[in-house]
Amino acid sequence: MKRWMIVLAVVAVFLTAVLFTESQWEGDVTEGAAAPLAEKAGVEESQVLPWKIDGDLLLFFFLSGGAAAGFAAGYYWRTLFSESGRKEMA
Amino acid sequence: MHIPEGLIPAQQAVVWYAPAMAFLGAGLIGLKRHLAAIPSSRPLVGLMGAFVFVISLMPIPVPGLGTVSHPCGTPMAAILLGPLTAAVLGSVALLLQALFFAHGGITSWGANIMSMAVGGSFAGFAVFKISRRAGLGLGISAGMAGFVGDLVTYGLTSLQIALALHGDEPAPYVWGAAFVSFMPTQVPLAIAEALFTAGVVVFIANERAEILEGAVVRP
Repeated sequence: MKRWMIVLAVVAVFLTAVLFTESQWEGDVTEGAAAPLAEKAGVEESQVLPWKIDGDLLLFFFLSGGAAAGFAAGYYWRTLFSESGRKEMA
Repeated sequence: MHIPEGLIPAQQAVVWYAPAMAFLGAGLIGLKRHLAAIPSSRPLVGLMGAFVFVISLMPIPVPGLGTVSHPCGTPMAAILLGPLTAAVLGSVALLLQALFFAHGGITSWGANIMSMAVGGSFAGFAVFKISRRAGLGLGISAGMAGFVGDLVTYGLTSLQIALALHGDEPAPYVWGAAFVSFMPTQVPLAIAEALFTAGVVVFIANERAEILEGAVVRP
């Protein structure tokens, strides 16, 4: 029951985000707050790193990073909270 | 709160870097000692590291506004592991995000550490301690820590933006205006962060109270 409640909550969040928006997601709120000030001050974002990650490459990194962090979280969660993990720790 | 590359002048970037590196150094020393003293806390450090990385990278859309933002995760890590360790986890997450995820920047790393990793951790930790000493329950205290830690992070980000970009206008005025502009997006996310922080802290305290011996969960 609890599991289904979580699934429903996640689906509800996604549906709400998709259905009740009047515009496309235009970017991070920090960029939104800083952009007008930066324009007024004549300052532009710059690039320091020798590489630029955007487009599908950025999508790839987000998916890979999310998967790696999800795997790590699951692994440590199992170590901490499952019976088998507790036995291994002990 | 990820301030992008180039928006903070070089002198100010250095000013933010100095305390950030001091906190990071102290945190690394503390973490090494902590892991040597309590090796069984290693999985909790790993879990919190993964949580902070994902939570602070996840762009969550706010319905009706068309903007996205993210919670921080550092208040939760500070409650469970202490604020210095949480600051280390937040700093590592911010570095990875700057290098590979187009979030933040190398020149703004110090400023971003001071807002999310240090500000969020210490504010959340302080609120949690005060709430517990005042006799509030574990879940309520953790929730308040998550809420305040999140908003303090964005308050500091507003300050950094204002100091860097206020131009001819008074910096305090720009600070206030920037902070207010964050509120419609960030308050719902701070509430979400409060609920998540309370849920995780209560769950861990109920399931594995023994791994939190000596942690701040107990007043």
